[in-house]
Amino acid sequence: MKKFLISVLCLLLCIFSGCAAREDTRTFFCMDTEMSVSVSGADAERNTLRAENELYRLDAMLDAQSESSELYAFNHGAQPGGELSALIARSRHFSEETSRAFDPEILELMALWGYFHADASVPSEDTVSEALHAAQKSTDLGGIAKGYAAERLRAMLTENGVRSAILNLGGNIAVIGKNPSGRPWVIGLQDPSGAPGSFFASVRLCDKSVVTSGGYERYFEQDGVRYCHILDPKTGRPAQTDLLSATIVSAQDTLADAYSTALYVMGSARAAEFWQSHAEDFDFVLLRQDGTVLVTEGIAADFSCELHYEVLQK
Amino acid sequence: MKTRYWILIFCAVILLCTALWLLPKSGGDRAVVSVVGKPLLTLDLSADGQIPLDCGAVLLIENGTVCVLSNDCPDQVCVRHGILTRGGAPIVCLPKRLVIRWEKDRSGVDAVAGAMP
Repeated sequence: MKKFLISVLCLLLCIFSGCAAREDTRTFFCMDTEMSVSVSGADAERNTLRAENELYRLDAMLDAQSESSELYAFNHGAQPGGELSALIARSRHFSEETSRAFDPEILELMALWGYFHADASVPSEDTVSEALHAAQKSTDLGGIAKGYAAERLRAMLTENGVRSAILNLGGNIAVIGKNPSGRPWVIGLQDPSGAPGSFFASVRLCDKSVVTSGGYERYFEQDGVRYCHILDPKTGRPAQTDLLSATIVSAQDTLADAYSTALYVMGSARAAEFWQSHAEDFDFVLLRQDGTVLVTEGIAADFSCELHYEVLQK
Repeated sequence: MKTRYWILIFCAVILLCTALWLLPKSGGDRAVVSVVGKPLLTLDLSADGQIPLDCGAVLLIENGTVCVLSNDCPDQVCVRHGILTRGGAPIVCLPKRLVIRWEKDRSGVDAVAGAMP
């Protein structure tokens, strides 16, 4: 009888331990966008909650528009704390690496182009040139905040033993491990001319970030001309590029965020050249305005695309 | 005697597992409505009808999908979104922090990069 009871207990234990290993998803609004965090494994609920709280903390620190943020204080002369000052230093490093195709010091220019308002219009040449050559420029970390958030969450979740998770931080995707069915994650790349959520290609990957920049995300039109929200820091005007979108695939989440903007601004020729000297850091998928696609060799084997594509070799 | 117990337990476990496995799969397509990140309710899309929400939005379930029929939000983006399509983006109302999405997406990808404005 004793043996029998023990067997039953063991069986029940098996069944309920199976129940504990589950998936939890939280969807919420943060950094002016919709975010969702899905975590598998034991403690999934506690981990998604931790992730959400960490995102609120980062938003409160990095929102240049919010008067209570640490970044706002920095832009108004205050000394930044250790975490913020390290991030600002990294953003400047990305700016140097990309010859200022990515530049965090464009807050005034963004305001000028109506980035923060619904009623945007083209500013005069004089005001643009004034903002471009101002001695004192303010920092906007919007170009790397979501990437940095992914990096922080990846570290935090991995430290807490999470082996499978997917983060969708306003269209920036970061994955940890394999998906719950034990296969690599499959991430679609937004079709700029299709409905939101439709994709022209997909990539299979583990433990990486996928970040896309494109003029199709936010723009305004005036006198029949479309002005996209991605500014070329050198001209102070919306980027003139041959690309519809630039996607970075990298294990370095923050770098992926910064470089997706930079490569979009560079255009395909300069982007390809840039990759040749940084191939160990990232891979890319470029969708040109003529409908052709260029993908780097590092992810070519895991890439599928309905359009004709060319593989860029080292 | 002992063998009979084992057979009984074995059958019970098999039954329980089958029931657990089948339970969430029954019924037609379902969509999840969440407000401020918390799931508010799950919609059975096989049952046509209108559903008024406390936040002021009215949902319409028809032909196996759902749309926002009316909403007292300032921008009306959610109303203009139209129906929830397979593989398409979730219906989002930013002012009200309202999101309507498929319970399980079947587009073949886990997520789409760059999808959100």
